[in-house]
Amino acid sequence: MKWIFGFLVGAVLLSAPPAAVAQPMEIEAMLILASNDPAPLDRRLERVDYVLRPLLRFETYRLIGQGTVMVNTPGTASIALGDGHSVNLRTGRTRGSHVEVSWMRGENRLLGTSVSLQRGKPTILGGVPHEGGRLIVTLMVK
Amino acid sequence: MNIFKELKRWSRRRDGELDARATHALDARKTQPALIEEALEEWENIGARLRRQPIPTPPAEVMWNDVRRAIHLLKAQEHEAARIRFRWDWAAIAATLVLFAGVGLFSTRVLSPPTALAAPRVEWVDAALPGASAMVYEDQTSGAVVIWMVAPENGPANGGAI
Repeated sequence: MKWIFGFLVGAVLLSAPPAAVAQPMEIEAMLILASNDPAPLDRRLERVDYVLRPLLRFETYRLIGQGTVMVNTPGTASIALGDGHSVNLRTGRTRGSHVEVSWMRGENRLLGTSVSLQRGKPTILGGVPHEGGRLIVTLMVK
Repeated sequence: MNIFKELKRWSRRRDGELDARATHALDARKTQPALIEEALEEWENIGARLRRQPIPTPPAEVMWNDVRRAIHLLKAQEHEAARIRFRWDWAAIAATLVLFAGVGLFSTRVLSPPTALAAPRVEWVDAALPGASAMVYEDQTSGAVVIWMVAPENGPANGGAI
């Protein structure tokens, strides 16, 4: 009886998850041009279109560029999105899963933020005027 | 002398119910009525007569059945005791597991609370476009966070935004 008890206690202690395990995050970013010009549906945006349409009142969304990167915690990474735009990511400087995000156009920073990226909950950065529409960057943890 | 009272006194004497003084006074008598003597002799003989009477002994089969019944009862008691002990063993194991699960849950949920509850999704925003400000909106339905830069000419009314 005693050895069963000891075995169970040991098993529970060994199987207890560590308090804080830094897991690398795979982050996908998309650069999207939103406008009210009529255009066919961009099928590459099916994964985010259902989120963008109820939140933003644009008629069409067109994918300009996208990229995926694996970010360690802590760590830094950059995703080139095309048309001179990129997103710089820095993890581990803030508590929890917050990531410092810098949306760059060339050498100029358009937007900086510290946001908690959560799986299945996209983060949408936007509002930069471009070709009569607005540029949007979506960030998703895969 | 009341012979019945005297008989009762001698009966109590035999049973040891008289105190020492009354016992001594009774024993000091030199003579007894004949009836008392007969009664004392009769009482003396009763024990021997009872011991001589045969005691009925049950048949060996009946006695063996009694032994088997006693063994069966003893085994049943031991089995029940073992079952209760077994139940208590598993109850202790289950209680230990529940305790450890509770401690684990407490340590993961309370000591290190979820980041969603511990901090807002957006800590800070810096809109670097000249003259722009930023709006933050968290959609409860999809869980999406929208960080939207609003330039002076880019209001919700004419920008088509949020």
